[in-house]
Amino acid sequence: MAPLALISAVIVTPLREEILLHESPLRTEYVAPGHAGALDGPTALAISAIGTMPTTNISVAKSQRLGVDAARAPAPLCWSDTDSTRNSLRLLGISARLTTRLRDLLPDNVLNMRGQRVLVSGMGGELGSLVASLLEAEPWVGSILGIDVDPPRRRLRRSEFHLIDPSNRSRIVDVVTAFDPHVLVHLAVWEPDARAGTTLAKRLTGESATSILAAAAECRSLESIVVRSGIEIYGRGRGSLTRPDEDSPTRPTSEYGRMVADIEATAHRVGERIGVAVTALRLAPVLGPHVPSPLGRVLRQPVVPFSLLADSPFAVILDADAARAFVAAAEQRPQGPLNVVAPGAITTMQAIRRGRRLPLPLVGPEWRVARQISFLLGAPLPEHVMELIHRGRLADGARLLSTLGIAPHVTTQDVIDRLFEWEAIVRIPARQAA
Amino acid sequence: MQPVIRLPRSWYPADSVDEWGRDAHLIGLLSPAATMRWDVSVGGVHHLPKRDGALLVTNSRHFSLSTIYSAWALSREIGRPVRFGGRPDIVPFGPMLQRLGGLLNNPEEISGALRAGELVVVSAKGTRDPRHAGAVDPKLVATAIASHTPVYPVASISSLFGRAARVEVGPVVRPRRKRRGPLADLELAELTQLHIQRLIDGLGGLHTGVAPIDWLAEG
Repeated sequence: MAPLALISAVIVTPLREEILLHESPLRTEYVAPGHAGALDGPTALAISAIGTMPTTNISVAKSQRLGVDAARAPAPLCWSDTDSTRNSLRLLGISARLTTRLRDLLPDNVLNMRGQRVLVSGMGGELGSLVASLLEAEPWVGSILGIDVDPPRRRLRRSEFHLIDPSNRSRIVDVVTAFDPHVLVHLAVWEPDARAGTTLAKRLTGESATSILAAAAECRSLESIVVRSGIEIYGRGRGSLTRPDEDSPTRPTSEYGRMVADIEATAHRVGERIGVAVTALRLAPVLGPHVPSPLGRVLRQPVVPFSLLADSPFAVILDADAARAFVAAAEQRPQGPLNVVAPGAITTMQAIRRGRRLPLPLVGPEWRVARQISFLLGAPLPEHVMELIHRGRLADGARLLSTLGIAPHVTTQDVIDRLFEWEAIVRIPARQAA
Repeated sequence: MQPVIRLPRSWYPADSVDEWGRDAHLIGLLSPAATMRWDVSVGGVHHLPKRDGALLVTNSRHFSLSTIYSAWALSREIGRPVRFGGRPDIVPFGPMLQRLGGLLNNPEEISGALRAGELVVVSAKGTRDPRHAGAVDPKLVATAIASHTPVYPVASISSLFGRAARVEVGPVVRPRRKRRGPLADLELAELTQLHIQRLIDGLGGLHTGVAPIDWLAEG
């Protein structure tokens, strides 16, 4: 027992100190849409009613208080900045020889990278919250800071969150430069008709990419940028490849495809300018129990339209697998794009049959009517989903395994099966103030 | 969530499409119809790799659909999917041929499939004479060189009206010299065409025996 206790003291005690060091009054307490958590008052009521924080309330949100942020101390020094590991071991009375032994037992990257600061933009989204919660469990991560226009959707223990509108560039610059991150995980990407309409999604995505990436470029410690992209970037024009890989030309043919292409271009420009690695994770359509997805909404309708003439195959990715890819990319920091696609493929008709929905075969002009009806029923069909239904959407995800050493666990068919098994919206009343 | 309707699920599995869009179950359903058109005998499949990818180049008479029946026959014989290049990208033919194992005739598409360890049949330039191998596109052969996959010649013979068809796979094409530049593509393409022609010449005709007109000549 004694050696075990010694090892735990060596490893756990500094970690505990670090956790305490980074605790902040701005720590989040949200768990899911419907749970108001630490927020109370009109904002909490709004969250409990509609699931997310309305953009009109951003200006009065707690973390917008300028005084609190102005009083913040500069980013604390972490283990990668100082040689505190050795000092801690010396203080505990462990000899240099035993220290070397312990270092041999632990992976090199864990010791060398310990205490890294990670900035997660888009932490309020389901994927962002999931990535943040996974990062909290990583031994190499010191502190985590999140920025978004919505509060996080799960309980985060160590993360610090700021509710900032992407148009508020000066405030973003202040917060980001004060944090001085080592890694930026940029997830502030709004898929059209997921959390916002196409016009608003485009504006928020563009402003977030510009302001957050520009702010991160000012940080001295920045070593890597990981951005969210999508396989919509390859486009599905005539003659486009059935299963493009990362080297294939990008010719986006939808608004969302052009949005993610712009993000990648911005990230690459910033990366080249300041000399840091840029990883673009091109995700297949992300589905998950709480992920707002236009494709998921359409497939879950009682009657689902599909193209009779071209029932093309597509692939998807589970949100948990996508989040694991982001965490691995943030840790390993490869350069270049990587496709994140679940193995297998499925056609719209097959998905309809798996969900035991009523298929509605359509040929041409009636799609306009179907789109309008679907919009009225609460499942709008944006351009990239229409493209997926008509032309399919596949991609080669083999490089993810060879580069990051991970592969999605759940196949496309299983993700679709789970989509139909997930509960519809469960409304939980807001916690009453004591 | 309760199902909206209950469809019979047994007659057609809802997971039969692979990562390239090939529907093995649909091919199985259409095979009897294809057999009514082509009765294909296959030879030389022992040359093909068991697991790795390979580019198979076959001769093609105009309108013979040799890549399709070759791919299906080889797939049935070796028990692994064999895809064919040359599907159009026009609705509804493109998606339909994709379900049958078709790929675009784009070198990048073929290259991607070869890198993924797939067997891909592509055709040489179409000819009017069924016993003549057309020129092989160096761009398609270059995909095999780039992805370090072997190239196999495949001779395919079918009749315009009859059912009898023959698919013969030859040994891997090995270039005589190692080239570093684009000359490697040109030489390998020419060599592949030569191998296909030799295979066709070695096959003989589809019909054997002595025709009455030949008997007159022999007399």
